[in-house]
Amino acid sequence: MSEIQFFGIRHHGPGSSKNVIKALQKMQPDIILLEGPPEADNLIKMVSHNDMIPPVALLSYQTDDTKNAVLYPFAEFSPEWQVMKFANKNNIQIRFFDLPLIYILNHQNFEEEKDDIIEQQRINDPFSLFAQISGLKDGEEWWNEFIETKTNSDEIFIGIEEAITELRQTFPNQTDKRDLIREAWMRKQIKIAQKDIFSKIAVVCGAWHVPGLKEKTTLNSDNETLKGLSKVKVECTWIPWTYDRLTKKSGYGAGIISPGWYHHIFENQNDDGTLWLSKVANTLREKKFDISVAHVIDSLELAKASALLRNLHKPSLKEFDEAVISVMGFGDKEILNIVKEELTVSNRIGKVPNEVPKVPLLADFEKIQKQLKIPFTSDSKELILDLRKSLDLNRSIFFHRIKIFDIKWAKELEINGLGTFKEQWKLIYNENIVLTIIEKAIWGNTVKEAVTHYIEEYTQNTNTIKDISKILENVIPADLSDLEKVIIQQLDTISANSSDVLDMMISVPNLANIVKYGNVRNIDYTHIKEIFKSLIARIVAGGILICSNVDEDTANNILDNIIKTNTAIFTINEKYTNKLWDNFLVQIFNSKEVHPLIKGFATRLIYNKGEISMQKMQNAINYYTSKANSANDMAYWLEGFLKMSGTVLVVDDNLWNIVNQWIKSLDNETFIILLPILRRTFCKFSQSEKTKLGEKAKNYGESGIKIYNEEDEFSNENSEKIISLISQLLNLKLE
Amino acid sequence: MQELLRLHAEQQFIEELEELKNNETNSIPENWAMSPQSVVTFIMGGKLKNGFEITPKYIGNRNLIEVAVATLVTDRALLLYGLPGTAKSWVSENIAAAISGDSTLIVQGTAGTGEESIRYGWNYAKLLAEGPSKNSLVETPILKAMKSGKIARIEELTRIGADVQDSLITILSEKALPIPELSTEIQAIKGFNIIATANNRDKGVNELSSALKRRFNTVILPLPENTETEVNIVKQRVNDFHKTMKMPAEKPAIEEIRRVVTIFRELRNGCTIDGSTKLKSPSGTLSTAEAISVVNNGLAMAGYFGDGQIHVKDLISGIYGAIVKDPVNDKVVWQEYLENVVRNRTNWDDIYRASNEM
Repeated sequence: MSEIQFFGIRHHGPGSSKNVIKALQKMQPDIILLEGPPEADNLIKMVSHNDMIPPVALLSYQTDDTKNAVLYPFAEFSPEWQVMKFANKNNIQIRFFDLPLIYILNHQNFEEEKDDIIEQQRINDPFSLFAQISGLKDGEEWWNEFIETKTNSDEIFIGIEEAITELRQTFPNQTDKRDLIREAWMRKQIKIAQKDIFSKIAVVCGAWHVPGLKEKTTLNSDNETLKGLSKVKVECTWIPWTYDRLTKKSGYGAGIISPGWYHHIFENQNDDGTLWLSKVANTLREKKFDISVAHVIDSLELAKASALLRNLHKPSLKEFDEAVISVMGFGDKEILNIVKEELTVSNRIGKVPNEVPKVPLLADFEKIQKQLKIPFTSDSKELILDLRKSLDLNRSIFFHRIKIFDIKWAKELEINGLGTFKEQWKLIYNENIVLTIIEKAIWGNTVKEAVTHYIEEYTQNTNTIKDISKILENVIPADLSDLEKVIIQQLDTISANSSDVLDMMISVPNLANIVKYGNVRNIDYTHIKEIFKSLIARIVAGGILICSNVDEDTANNILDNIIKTNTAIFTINEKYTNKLWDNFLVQIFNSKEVHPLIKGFATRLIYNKGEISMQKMQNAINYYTSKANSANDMAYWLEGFLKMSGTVLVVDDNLWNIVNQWIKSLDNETFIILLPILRRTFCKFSQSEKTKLGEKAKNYGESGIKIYNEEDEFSNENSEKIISLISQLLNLKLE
Repeated sequence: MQELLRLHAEQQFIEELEELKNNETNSIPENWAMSPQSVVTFIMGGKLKNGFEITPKYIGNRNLIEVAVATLVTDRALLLYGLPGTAKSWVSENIAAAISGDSTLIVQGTAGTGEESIRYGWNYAKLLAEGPSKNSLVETPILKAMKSGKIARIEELTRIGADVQDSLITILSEKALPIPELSTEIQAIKGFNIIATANNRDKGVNELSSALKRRFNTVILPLPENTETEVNIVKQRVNDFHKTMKMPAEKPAIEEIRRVVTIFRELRNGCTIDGSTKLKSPSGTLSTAEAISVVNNGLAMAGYFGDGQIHVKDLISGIYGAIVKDPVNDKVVWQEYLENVVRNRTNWDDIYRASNEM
């Protein structure tokens, strides 16, 4: 009969690491069964490759649905990592013996009937019960105190096993269906190993499973549990990882909060805190904190005293952190954030050798890079693309695709004076970009497919017209016509259900851009034009309401959007929308409840469009500036009326005349009251506008400025001068 | 014997201290009355092995108190730092009572506190008659604590002038106090340490010199984390007050306390509890201690001038007084709060009315 030993570990436990290696050295097994996916068996030998530097992760994904993926991250201090290295070094057979991923990734296999009673019986962390007995805060603390920091390995594994056996008996429902199936599989693998020629078998798995694996069952009953599992196709590979990402949840359960600290205690098992606190002190000194050696000594003493008070045999990170706050930080917790990135979490990035199978997305990404001749370079690089050339056009499409995919490699720069067929991009590479690509591998096997899935999902979770139209605007240059259809459909649905007029207004300029852009690209965007029209109609229908009874901030916000919408309608220049919009402006002009700021602006717009007569204009300005109005209302109206009109005032003598007449009509007292209000309006004009206005005011009526009225005769002489200048500018040849 | 207005912690909780000593299982540092673990239990409350219940003295984060007590186990002094009314002095008194059985070795820090209040002074009559001698020396609480191995307390450390503060440096680092006039020195015996308190709002008044700062471990006592904790604190302290003062009024309903705490918290944080409305904050700190005194005050009003039951009208003047410290700005704050929050809140119209009738 072969000898079997079980080693229950904690994933990512640095103490478990040390203990399990010590125990394996003593046992000298001829095979190690390690918790992990058997599909990755052939990847184990790569662990000892020279270019393999943890943290790395084992990525497994369903071949035809890459979104269905699972990650097993490893750090230098992870027990599994150390076991793999140990096996490679000593030429010991090693097998991953967990339930294959072909079953694990098929989630139907583990569907459980929801049972509230069982749900209630399951507790969050069974180890917290031990913690309570020992007077510790939680299960994590208990593990650290009793398992991770103990070095007597033989007894520890027996101790853990006894403890967990007890726990599993107390909470029979704690282990879910998935884990029970996995354990049946693992038991079967142990039996197979026994039948093979192996005489000394070491089983390394999460501590919780040990009693389950030791359970005496027959091969038949295990086979019964495993019957009827269905499969999916799966691929595995190694990918680089970071300590920062190690803090997130993964295939090995919850993330760890402080990988940097674990790394430290793994490498410096005998450190009583002196080395750790010196590192903290050094990091703080680099950030220009005055930290003396005495600070380190005092922190160490305080940490030790706290540990003593809490009946711990050694201070843990918590005690050190508290000591650092109290001694070095003068009670301020902020100090921990300063060391967090470099020390507690530690900004370590892993590396994998080139021989490792690449994730398809990265392979595709690199293939495109080769085709388009745009490799990663360590220094940043600027590219000007001429979209009339096919290579440059393809580059542009590629850049736009990765831009909406949140891969921050290519950044579009504003370009001036080169026409719409040119784009300028800046390429900035850092190591994190490859990681981001790998992380996004779950979305698809090619860049195009992945981006499409990614945006599709994003679109489905977006429910404002503003955001959707923004996405659409970004997607169009990425040349993804299928995706466009999906987004347009979503836009249609949302805009039909939306009642948020402001949201509609905000999205109108984006849509106008799209309609315009579509014409350039020979793509049919008539449908968007229809949406655009219906949006305008609905804005006009609900517009008066949102402009009424609002405060200054809201009015300003609405006015901004009215200005943008006005520009958008002007750009599209459709008879139908133009007419709707003009009506809307007249409605604003006539309404009593609309905020004066908005009314002022609408008044000038319709004046510009010639919708109202001079007389009505004059009346409006007199009405709003009459003394019965509150000074505020007056100021708002004028501000709206004269908004962005500096140049207009200089050029348009009629408008000038209206304003001028009005100011001249004010008596001294009213003028003084109005002065600050007027200043508020005029100070927003540019310096040159103000100077010109000043000159005009000074010379008005003296240097022969003529005011043209509608009744005035048309001057052939003056027109000819202008026509010849214009034809020169436009390079036209006139008869 | 005349009854005392207020008992020291070691007098008020004498029974608890005795029980803790009798149930001691951990090792006791030299000259301490009990183990550090028991000190934490005394402050945070808990059940002893023989079933005796220790009342909590501080409601809040246990870790902070553990760090504070652990500091005193090492030879570093403890500085409790926080806003006014965050129970700094109360914690310091109770820790000193638990460790030394004596919380009375106290120096009140003021701008006028001189070196003679910290180190030693002279009895001038004796000094003239006998010349410098041990007999004519006036011992400060700190010197007494050094000689007897007890905890000395300094209240409002940052109010003391910087030059006077620095006379603590030798005491804290050398644990000795030279008396050159007598060519001698006093060396502290084990168990001696100092707990100082200082408040955030005094920051910058007399900031500790970095040499002195280095001798202290700092623990910041925060404002209560959430409404529940704060209501508990107020309830407990009000009940104590009710007992010691033999108030004729009934104990206030928890609902009244919750309303006072809610008002204070909302104004302090500048935002309603549900986060929906932004509010202006008044100039005062509106600490938990002030909430306690408002409720106590209401209790007295109801007992002596009301029908014995606490009503909004007994509380409202206290609330108003606590909030409106600056007659112009704070009044606006309170008015806005009344109009925007109190008026619209269900079942709060009595507050609105009472406040307008005032």
